[in-house]
Parts: sequence; structure tokens; C-alpha cells
Amino acid sequence: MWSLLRDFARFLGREKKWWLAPLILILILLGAVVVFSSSSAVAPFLYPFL
Amino acid sequence: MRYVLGLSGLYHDSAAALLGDGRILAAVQEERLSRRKNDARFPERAIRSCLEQAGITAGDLHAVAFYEKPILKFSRTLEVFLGWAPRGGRAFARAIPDWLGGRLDLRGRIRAALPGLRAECPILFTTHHEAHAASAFLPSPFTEAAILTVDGVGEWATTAIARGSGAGIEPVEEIRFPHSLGLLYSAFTAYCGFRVNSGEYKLMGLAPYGEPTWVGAIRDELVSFDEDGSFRLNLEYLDPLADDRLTNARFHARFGGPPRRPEEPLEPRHRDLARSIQVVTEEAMLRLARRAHERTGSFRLCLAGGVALNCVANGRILREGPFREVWIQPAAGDAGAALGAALAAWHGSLERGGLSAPRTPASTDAMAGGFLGPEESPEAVEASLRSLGAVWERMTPEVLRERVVRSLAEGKVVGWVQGRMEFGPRALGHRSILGDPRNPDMQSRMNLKVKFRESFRPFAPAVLAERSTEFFGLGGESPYMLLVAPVAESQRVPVAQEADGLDRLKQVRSTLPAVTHVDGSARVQTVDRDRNPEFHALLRQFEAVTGCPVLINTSFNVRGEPVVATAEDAYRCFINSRIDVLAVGPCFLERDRQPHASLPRSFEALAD
Amino acid sequence: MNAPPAHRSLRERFAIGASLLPPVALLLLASRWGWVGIPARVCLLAMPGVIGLGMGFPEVFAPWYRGFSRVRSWLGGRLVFGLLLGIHGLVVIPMGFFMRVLGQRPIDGARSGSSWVRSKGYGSLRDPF
Repeated sequence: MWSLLRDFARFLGREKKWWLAPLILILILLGAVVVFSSSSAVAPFLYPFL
Repeated sequence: MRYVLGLSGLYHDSAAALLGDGRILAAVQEERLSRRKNDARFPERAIRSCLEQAGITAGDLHAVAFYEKPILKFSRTLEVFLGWAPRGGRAFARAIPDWLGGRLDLRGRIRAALPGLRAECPILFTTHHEAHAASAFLPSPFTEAAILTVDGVGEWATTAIARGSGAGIEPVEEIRFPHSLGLLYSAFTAYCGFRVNSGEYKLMGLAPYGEPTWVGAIRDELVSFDEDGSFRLNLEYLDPLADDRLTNARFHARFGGPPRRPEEPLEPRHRDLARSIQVVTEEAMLRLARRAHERTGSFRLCLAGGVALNCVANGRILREGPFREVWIQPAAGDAGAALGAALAAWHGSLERGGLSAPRTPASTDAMAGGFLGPEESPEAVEASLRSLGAVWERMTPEVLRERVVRSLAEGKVVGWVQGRMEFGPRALGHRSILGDPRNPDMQSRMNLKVKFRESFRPFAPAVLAERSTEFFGLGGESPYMLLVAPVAESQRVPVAQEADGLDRLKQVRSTLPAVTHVDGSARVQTVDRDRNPEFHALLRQFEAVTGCPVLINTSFNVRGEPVVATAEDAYRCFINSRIDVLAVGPCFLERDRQPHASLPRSFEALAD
Repeated sequence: MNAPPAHRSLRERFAIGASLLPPVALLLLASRWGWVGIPARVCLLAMPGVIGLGMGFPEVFAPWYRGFSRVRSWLGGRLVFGLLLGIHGLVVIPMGFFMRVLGQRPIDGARSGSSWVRSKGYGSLRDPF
């Protein structure tokens, strides 16, 4: 998880998109506490967007 | 030897590809092995198959390359949700678990899937369009070329132009989400009642039956073109958050009614819409091709990305575009991006983290005919036929060919499974169903009774490369069945009076009625001895017996099924369809002699 | 069906044992509130016992464990869905609102003009971004 956070930090710095940081942080923290099954529930027509 | 593994997937069409010292050793789509069409799961089976084919383990790998930048794509997803807010809450809650559950931390996921991978083996990431561009240029026979990649969307880019030279690829410019030709085509696919990401072929096959009556409406309101070849979609007509379509009420009002449900009949309006969006797509592709030529100055073009599977558009680029030569990656969709990612890592510079290998283009191309999948030994074939209780005769290749050709000439439908499996959506004569193209009933018989699919869908001809010009106005080779060309004038039969709509299907238009589409075109595969010797020999034999060097070649599967991989898949499909004869490896099987009337299927059927 | 595997890993045995805890915990709560006559201390002491029971006889409790896992993953899915809906309401919607106020449009929805964007280069292969 730390390497992921580091990657995100470098990414946000490169792209100057610091405003995305709070949202990303919240989601990654959520990802750290909850174990997700990675079965896809998204309908195929949404794939181009997500 | 230094090995590089390339991976794609997690959205649709997962795949793996393996390079050994830069040579493509193996490439496999997950769906063929998992028996779930367009399988999007992590390509574990495909990875295993690639490693087995090369006889290595994960510990032998020097690099693993994934075809996308997950963090970039995740941030785009978040930005899209920010743009949609306050709508999109439910879609957000459904989409995010996939990301947190394994799409984001791909390094961890890849290491978990490849136990034994050395700690110092780097896991690399190309962008989506870099992987497509690499898959288009690096295996091509060209030393320099313009590269055009067009698909739904990668990270941000939906369309990209690059310049390839030697082993290097330099990106030039791109069009970004949401302006996307792939998305537009998919919107019409969904609107006409077909499945997004797999029903696009059906829409393309339906197009010649309709009239381009909606072209004006699409151009006026849905998509606008700039003089420089770029385009923009009008988002007021598209709404992916609407219940189960990409399109919204405004779109439905403008294009003549609510979306068609899959089980509803096809109306003339749907045929006209299919034709119209096809015409707009072809024009857009031609504009993009001209732009690629202007920006790079090259007279050679390499194509990839899902939209490059639109073989009608490809044929027009070759005939009407500014390029002298065009090479299209046979696995142009996301499966081919696994190969592209591996090649990009192999040839990528050291500063970027690549292995910086030089490149010498092959004289034809580096795809080995597209035959990059697994193959079963004759013993393995016999063992699985035995376990299924099949009745077969084992014979030499010469006798097998003779028996198969005799069956074909008698009007029988033959399942033909030989050699290594194809990589990419087309069956090229190693996992094919074959038939006699001179037979006027063959198209509807094979569609309805063999493949259980819509009667309007066309079949493709495989022709001896040395005789292709007698039958098709191709102006070059088409070994991967990615170009549509007109049937030669000398083979045409005049039609007294054009029938209406789908009735046109039954009219004979050429000496090869089963492979001639209603507009007098055909999606041609040219078969040469070097790349495809077994299939070439079969065509030669058929020519010797009948005088005709052409066969119908369609993929060995039924509706909703991935193309067969093994003798077992082939036998199950053979029993459950109306294929008359099966030739798998050295074994010859006739339907009448089999003890089964049906067998449980070995795939997860996919709805339309 | 296949025969059950002869050996179960320690981890799996522990998971089966632990899946027996929630009913005991419910019993504990019930006794706290005086709904059942079992003293709370007995329930507390029984907890290691039931884990041991599950670990000792995994085959006996395997069907229970499968049902328990199904309920748990269903509940987990609902919970995550709700959490994410909350994040959407509390974070995404306000952020989207502010971006709109500040004139930031993440999606380029313009209707005319060239849409070509000059490429910045592919970036390092080492980075997942």
C-alpha cells in the first residue's frame, strides 16, 4: 500500500492535480480496511467511462 | 535467452504474450482457455499457457509489462465522476470496488499471480495507446511508418497518431476522452440491441442491408468534424448513467424511437442506422489516416485499436487513403495490446526502464501468421477423443486432406483444427469451420444450423494468395482477414431486380455466393504457403478437385462461444452443432458415426 | 461432487473456527440484556472453546462456514456500497460543485474546434501513471 501511495503522490505532483488528493486518500484508506472481491459488477457499456 | 511477458485485460479481452529475445514465442487470449467469451479476468490461464509453450517458469522472466497505466486511468475515472456529480452515485459505488479490489495495485496482483518471479524482475506499464501503437508498428515489416490507433478509450486518449522509426515510437498527437469513435460506434451498437464490446461486428455486418439515411443527422448533431481530421462528440445525446444504454431520451427521439431490445426483431430503421454509422466511421477513419500522413510524412501506415477491426474502413483507407502500404495488427483489440506492451518494453529505451533492444523488421511481419497459441500433440488429441467416447480414424496429412476435400466438394461442412491456435479475433485456418463457397445455400445453412446466429451475418472467403486477384479486387495481400474488398467483376453475376432488406441475402451475386456480401464485397483472407502451409495445402487440394481455390472460412465456435482451443472443445462443438465432419490433428471424424446426439457444452454462453 | 480435501490449512481451520464466534457473541449480548439465562461469563469462556471445536472438526462445520461466508460477503458488499454512496455524497458531489464554480471542467465538452492535443511523450515504463 505504501508503494501505491508513493506512486499516487508522484503522479499528483507531476500532473499538478493536488485537488484529487483527498478523494484518492479516502478511497485508498477504505481499500486498506475493507477486503474487496474483484468481481465486476459494472455493466459493459460503462467500461469506456470507468 | 531474455524473456518478456506482456499482459492486457481487466476490462475486456484479457490476454498474455511472451517474447524470447524479442521474438514472439506465444500469445493467447484468456477467453479461449477459460471458455468465457471476452473474458476480462486476470489472464492467469493465458500466462500459464505462454510459459508452458516456451518451456519456462516465472523465474525466467526478465520483465513483465502491463498495457495500461492504472493510476492514470483511475484518476480519469474519478475526474469523470466529479464531472458527472451530483449524478452517478450508484455507478460510483459499483465501480470503485473493482479498482480497490485489484485494478489499482497491479504490481502486487502480478507478483501474486506469478509466484517465483524474481524480486529484481521489473513490472512495467505502457499507456494504452503506446501498447496499441507498439503492437501495430513493431511486428510490422516497415522500418518507418505512421501509426494510427483508434479505440474506445485508454487512459485519456481515444485516438492517437505516432511515428515509428527503427525500434522507436514517438507519439505525435491525440484526441482525448470523451471524443471517441469507438464510443460512438458502441453507442449505436447498444442502441440497435447488440452487446457493447462484442456486437460491433454484427452492426458492421448489418450495414450493407440498409441505406445511409441517417448520415446527415449523425453529422449535424452527434459528431462534428474539424478540417484537421479531428472530431468532437455532442455529449447532449449520450448518457452512460441512463438505465442500461449509452444513449439518452434525446438521442432516442432524434433517431426514431426507443432502443431495440436484443430479442426484438430488426427493423429497416436499424439497418439504416447501421449503414449510416458505418459510413460516418469510414469517413472519420479516412480523415484520420490523411492527418496521420500529413503529420508524419510517411507513405506507410500501421493500424491498431478496436476500431481497426472495422475491416470495411480499413479497405477504404488502403484504396482511397494517401498510403502505399498498410499493415494492421491482426489482434487489433485489447488482446493485441498484451503483445504491444511486451514489445514496447523490449525495445523501450533504458532511461524509460525498457530493455533497449534494436529491431530488424521481418520481411513479411513478425506475427508468424498469427499462429501463436497452444497446440496439442496427436497423442493428446487421441487421448481426449478417447475419453469423450468419440469414433475416429487416424490418418496421414495427405489422406486427411483428401478426405476433407471430398467432404467439402459433397457440400458438407467441415470443422478443421490444425496446428497452433490463432491470436486475435479471426480464425485463419487453424480453428476454422470450412464450406464450399459456390453453394448458394451455404451462408444461411451455416449461420442458422451450424453457428446458430443471425442469418444476415456474412462469411469470409479464404483464397490461395497466388490466385486472389482473379476473384477479389484487393490490390495486395490480406493474410489476417482484416480487409474488405470487392469481388472481381469477372466473378459477378448480374442481379435481375434488387430485393428489399434482408431478402437480398438470398440473391446470387457472384460465382461465390456464400461469401459475397449484398454489396458485392467480401472480407478476404489470402493464404500463402510460408505462413500457413497446412491450410494452403488444403486449398490447393480443393482447387485440384473442384477448380475453385476459395473456401468459406469461419471461426470454429457457435453463437456466444469463444473459438475452440482444444480437441475436446472442438468435439463438443462438433456434436452440438450440425458440422458434418471434424478433422482435428491427424484424426478424422464423421458425424453419423458418433455415439452422441449431444454433449454438455464447455463454455459459459454469452447473451447477445 | 469431489471428496472433501483430506488436509485443511491452519488458516482455513482457524477461519472455520472463527465463523462460530458470531452466534456465541450474540448469545453473550442476549445474556447481558437479560434475555437468556446463561451467564455472560460462560459465553466468554466458551469462545476459545468453539474456535477449538471448529479447528478440530472442520468437516463438521464446513457447511455452516460456507453459508456464513455467503452472508458475510453479501453484507460486506452492501456495506461497501453504502460507504461509497456516502463518500460520493460527502466528497465527490461537493468537490464537483466547487470545480464547476471555479470553472474547472474535467471533461472537455466543447462542440467545435480542433480536438487534437499534442502528445507529451509516453513517460517512464516504470511508473504506473
